[in-house]
Amino acid sequence: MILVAILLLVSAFLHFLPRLTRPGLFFAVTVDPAFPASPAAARITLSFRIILWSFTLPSIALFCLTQRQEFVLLQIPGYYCAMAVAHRRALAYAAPAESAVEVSLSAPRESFPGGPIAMLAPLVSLAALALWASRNWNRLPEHFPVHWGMHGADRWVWRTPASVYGLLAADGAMSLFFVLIGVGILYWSRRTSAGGSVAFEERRFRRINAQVFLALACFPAGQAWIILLQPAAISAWLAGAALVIGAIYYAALIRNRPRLSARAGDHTPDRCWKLGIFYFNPSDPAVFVLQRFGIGYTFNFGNRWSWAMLATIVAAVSLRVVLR
Amino acid sequence: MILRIDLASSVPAVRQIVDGLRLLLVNGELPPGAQLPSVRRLGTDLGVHFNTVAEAYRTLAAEGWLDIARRGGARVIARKPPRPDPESAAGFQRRLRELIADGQSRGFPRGRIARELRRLAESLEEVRS
Repeated sequence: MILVAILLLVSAFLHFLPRLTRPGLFFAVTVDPAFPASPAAARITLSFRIILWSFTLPSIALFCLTQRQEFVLLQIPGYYCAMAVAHRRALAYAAPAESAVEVSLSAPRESFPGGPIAMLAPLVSLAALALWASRNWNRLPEHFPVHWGMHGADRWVWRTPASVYGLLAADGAMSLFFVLIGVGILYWSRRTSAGGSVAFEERRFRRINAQVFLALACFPAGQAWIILLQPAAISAWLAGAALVIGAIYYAALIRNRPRLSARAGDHTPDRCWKLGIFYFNPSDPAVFVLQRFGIGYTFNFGNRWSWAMLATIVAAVSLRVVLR
Repeated sequence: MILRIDLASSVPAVRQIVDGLRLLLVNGELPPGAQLPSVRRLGTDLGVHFNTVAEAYRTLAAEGWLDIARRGGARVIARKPPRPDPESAAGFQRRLRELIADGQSRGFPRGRIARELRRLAESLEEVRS
């Protein structure tokens, strides 16, 4: 039932997500600021919601009937399908974006929360744990969990060098991935506002995003410490606590999202937003850009450094799969 | 201190960056010692390739405005203005006439162009005094 509740919550959030879009944007298309209130926009939003729930409700029904968690994943193609259709229909109402770009040459320098120490802390802690494990091998648990389902730990491995150091490497790769995203949002994304209160809001929004990813980077590191030192402490409440913290942070992001002007926009061409979700622009030097549908930042998949960062999460997942 | 370029303009981005920065330098808004954003930072914010910004910085460095030898961006340096030679003066007059002709071809009346030129001349005189 928890899974059904999560699925319903996510779908409800996606249902209302069009209302959280920045002014001047409609399903990731630059439009006249008055367009979202028009009857045509209402029809597009309705079709998005119908497609979304057309996938969500059957996935819930199939999961309830068969108890197979795989059916829950049906929501993902449903969202992409709904978004693709809405984005395509919105393109018919696209308005020309502002081509002028203004940049402040005197913007204050931004720093990563906690500085280099905070950036390196999760990775250094994992390195320290690896060193401790090598010297206290017999104090490690004989077997420990590496995967958790809705009812707690459901996959365990025996204490071997491959499993112990594989776990640490996987968690290290995951922490590195989150740290890189936090750093990237702060230093490798575009400042779209040249001055005034909106520029201040943008800086604050970037900082909150960096803090979120720093917190996420600490999670795999903390998990590794608990697994190898006290595996009995891992339980479903830990995942629940992480979800609550994540929800609080997301609410902070929504509350503090910058009110970019509809006219200036985010300086990303409409044609580079694929399905309205994925930004692909090899000519854009920014590694991260503001999401056009949703809150936060997304990769510029046309930039090779985005793929270099994604390689770390692929490494983390691959190591986890090997550990099963 | 704002730098503004138009990505849809027929004028190349590097030229717009050079002209925009030069305007700030000439007006004293970027005094000697001021640090400009790094090539990466300015390129990302403007949405142009890093090489475009680097070329703009090199152009201004060749004119004596910037020191780009240091790591971490460009710094404005004190510059002794060169004495204009007859060829540069003729080139400047030609570009000014071309700019005025461009304004007239876009429909700006002569009277308005003349008023703008007078206003600019007055502001230059104020700076000099």
